[in-house]
Amino acid sequence: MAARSPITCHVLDSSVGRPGRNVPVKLELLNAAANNTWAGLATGLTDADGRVSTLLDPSHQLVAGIYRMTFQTSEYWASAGVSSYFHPYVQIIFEVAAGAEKQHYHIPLLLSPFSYTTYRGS
Amino acid sequence: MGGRSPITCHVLDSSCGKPGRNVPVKLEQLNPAANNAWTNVAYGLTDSDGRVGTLLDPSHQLVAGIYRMTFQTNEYWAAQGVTGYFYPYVQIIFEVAPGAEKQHYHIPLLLSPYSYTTYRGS
Repeated sequence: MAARSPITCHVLDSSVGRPGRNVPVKLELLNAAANNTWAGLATGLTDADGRVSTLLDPSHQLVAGIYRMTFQTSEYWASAGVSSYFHPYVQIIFEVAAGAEKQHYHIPLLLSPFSYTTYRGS
Repeated sequence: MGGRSPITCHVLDSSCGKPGRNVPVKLEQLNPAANNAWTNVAYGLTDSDGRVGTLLDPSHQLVAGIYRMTFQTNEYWAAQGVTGYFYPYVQIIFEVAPGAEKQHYHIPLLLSPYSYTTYRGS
């Protein structure tokens, strides 16, 4: 398989059965050495297929630790003309375990105005 | 219906089909007047049915705004003897809209080691 960002994501709008396009995405890493503050790693915007595939360079070696991916879903709903929704943004906090730094981490978000689901994908 | 906390939650472990017991839960409110800091509102621990029924007093009148509920799921998995899981904790950010302050807000969390779902319940 061709090289890719070690962390990828995919937003699907389950209320209409289509990708979630133009969702702003932010990726951060918890910095235990800096009093547990979040360090910005990357930002992106989901594409026509609801994916951000270029968050990190394929050569980027992940470090073990706690990561946080934020999806600015309020902006998505606004552009979709949906004014009523429950979660202004979605933050998914996940761990790259020690010894698992070379694995791929795919974060799907199945989103609708009053519900969401996420899981470790591939 | 008897008076109840205006915000309630329910953790279900979908990996074994049972309530998520003894999960620490924290409720915070975003304070725009304090530079968007999160202010602690309440703490609880899920009971034998996976619920926290007493986060807020039934007489507590919610104010409109952004709330954040944090479920310390790593403690739950540790107590289950589960060492492989993806999310050290789950944070759900939701909005009490202006005009909707007298509604009830129920936050279910359907949890398994590599996936979770949440929605606005009742």
